[in-house]
Amino acid sequence: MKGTGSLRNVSNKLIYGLFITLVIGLVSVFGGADLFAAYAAGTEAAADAASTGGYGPAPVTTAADYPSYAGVNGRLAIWIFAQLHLWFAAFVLAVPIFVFIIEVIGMRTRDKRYDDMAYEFIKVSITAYSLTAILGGLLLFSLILFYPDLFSYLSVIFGESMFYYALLFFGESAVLYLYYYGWHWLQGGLKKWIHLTLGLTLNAVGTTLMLLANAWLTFMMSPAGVDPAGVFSGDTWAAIHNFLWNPINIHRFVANIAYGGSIVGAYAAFKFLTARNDQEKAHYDWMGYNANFIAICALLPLPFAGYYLAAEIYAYSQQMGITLMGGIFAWLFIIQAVLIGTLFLSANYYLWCGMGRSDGAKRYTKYIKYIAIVLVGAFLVWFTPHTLVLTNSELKSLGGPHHSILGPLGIMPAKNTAVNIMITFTFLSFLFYRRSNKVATVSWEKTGNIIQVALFSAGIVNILFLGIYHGYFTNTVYKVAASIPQVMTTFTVIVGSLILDSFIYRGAKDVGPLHWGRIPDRAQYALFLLAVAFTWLMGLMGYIRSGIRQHWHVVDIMRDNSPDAYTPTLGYAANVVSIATIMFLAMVIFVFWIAQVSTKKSLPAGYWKE
Amino acid sequence: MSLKNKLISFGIAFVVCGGGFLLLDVTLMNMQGLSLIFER
Repeated sequence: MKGTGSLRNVSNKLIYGLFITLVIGLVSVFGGADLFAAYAAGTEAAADAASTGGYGPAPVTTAADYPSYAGVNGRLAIWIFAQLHLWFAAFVLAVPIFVFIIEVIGMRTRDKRYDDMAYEFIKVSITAYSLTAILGGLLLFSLILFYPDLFSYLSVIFGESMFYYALLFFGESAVLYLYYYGWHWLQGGLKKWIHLTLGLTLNAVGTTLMLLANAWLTFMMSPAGVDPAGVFSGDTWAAIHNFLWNPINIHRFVANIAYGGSIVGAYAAFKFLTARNDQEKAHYDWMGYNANFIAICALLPLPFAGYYLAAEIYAYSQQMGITLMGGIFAWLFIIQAVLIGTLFLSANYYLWCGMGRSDGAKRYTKYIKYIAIVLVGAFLVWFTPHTLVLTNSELKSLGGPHHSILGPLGIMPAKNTAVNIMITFTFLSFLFYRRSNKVATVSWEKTGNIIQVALFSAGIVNILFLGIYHGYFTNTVYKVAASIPQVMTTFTVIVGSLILDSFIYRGAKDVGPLHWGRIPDRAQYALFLLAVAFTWLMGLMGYIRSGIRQHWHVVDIMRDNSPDAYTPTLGYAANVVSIATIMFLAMVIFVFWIAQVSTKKSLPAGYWKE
Repeated sequence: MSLKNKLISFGIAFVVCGGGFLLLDVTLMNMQGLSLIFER
């Protein structure tokens, strides 16, 4: 029965995938062209279309060109559907990446626990995959219904890539189901290699899908391959390879891994808290640790990827850059800073609690309080606003909205310093965790430790020098330029320290066996917090990224003339993102629950004929 | 290892690492067409 059910499940999903593929394909190839023809007919410029290779300028719309259905606000519907789709897409794109890596580790070490963990991770993502597709379909239909002119314009430029996207989506579904349902079948020897090849293919296709979708949204921010009137040159690659495409690709790729790690970490925490015996607790504790490790590994470079993206936005358009961090959206960056601080504190807290698994951790627990103090200090700098919200009397006594000493804490050199310090100390927490169950046996252990302390100290002094000197005493060009050596200092400390540590602990003895499952329940809530903070953060920052286009559908090319072509208040935006976050987390709980239900069996006595 | 030896070892390592970071700063700022110390 189970086999039949699974088969039906696969066929249902494949049929669903085929349906979506056909819809997207037909809309992009035929619908797009028809819709384009409809708007082009309404403009004088259509007459010139023949002279521009058959492509007309971007449509000029009026409020009447934005239909309304059943009283639903089009912008709100698309906002929520796009956000939900993106969260799930980020999750289902990230999970196969680290599942593949964990499976490779399992194959290399021949430790079946890794293989089992990888399978459990992919099992969680399977239901999420269906939800991603459903939400993608809702987003597509909403775009066609509420913003037909925009969609038709984009489908003329990206029709070809949309068609390939649809085919790739179908291909990804097929590979994913082969990868998941063939897991236990394709075990050992050549079969394992075939399975790993499927995993690699799945990741290649998934990443390509993300790159294509990224091209569409970055085209709306930094259009390329079109003239100032929006007439398409016919060069699809130029439109795809627009100015902000690669910065978004890098940022999303890294962020997706961190996000995927945090979501499966929440799953492990959920399973840990509901475990019925010590064995289950130990398994899910180990799973939670690995998920948190993945999230931290991706979280550490993430601020740099974000900084690079923001710098490129500035480079493309100073106006957009200033709207981003110096205008109305700047206050959302304060919330962002709070959430990022929460991420770092949660990840560190989980590591500190996890040190309790080892009997040798006592040697390092005395340092935790100092790491906590530094992290909180950096956190405070991280969310200090540039311009304070003050009453008139406060303004008078201060002499203006800027404080002479605290003011520079609101600009990027201080933020960069804070985040580099946070990253360095988070790495230190990880280093202590790594060392907690080991005793070095090399003769030069003490010298090695002294060198490591010197490396950390010199690195921190250098980060502080670059941040304080350039933050207070130089101009903007220097302030921005100094961020590069700051990042490289952090990178050098981490890599140098890891290399040194691996030599110090070569041939090290274990203090004793690690007690998996010996971790307080409250540590699991840190994993939940990590997942919630990530989700919220992505929603808020995604809104900002999209919102900096302001009254443009496609910046400087196609103006948004809908009644909603205004930037909503920050409170409204935060409420929408918060409601979407709650919706997403409710769906994630459903996904976790479904994964749990699939393992349960009922055998009602006397129900079936003997 | 005595405290004195520890301090000497730390001092040497700190100077070497610090010098390395300073060199890194100068190189990366020069690559961007700037000096490490602000020039008006």
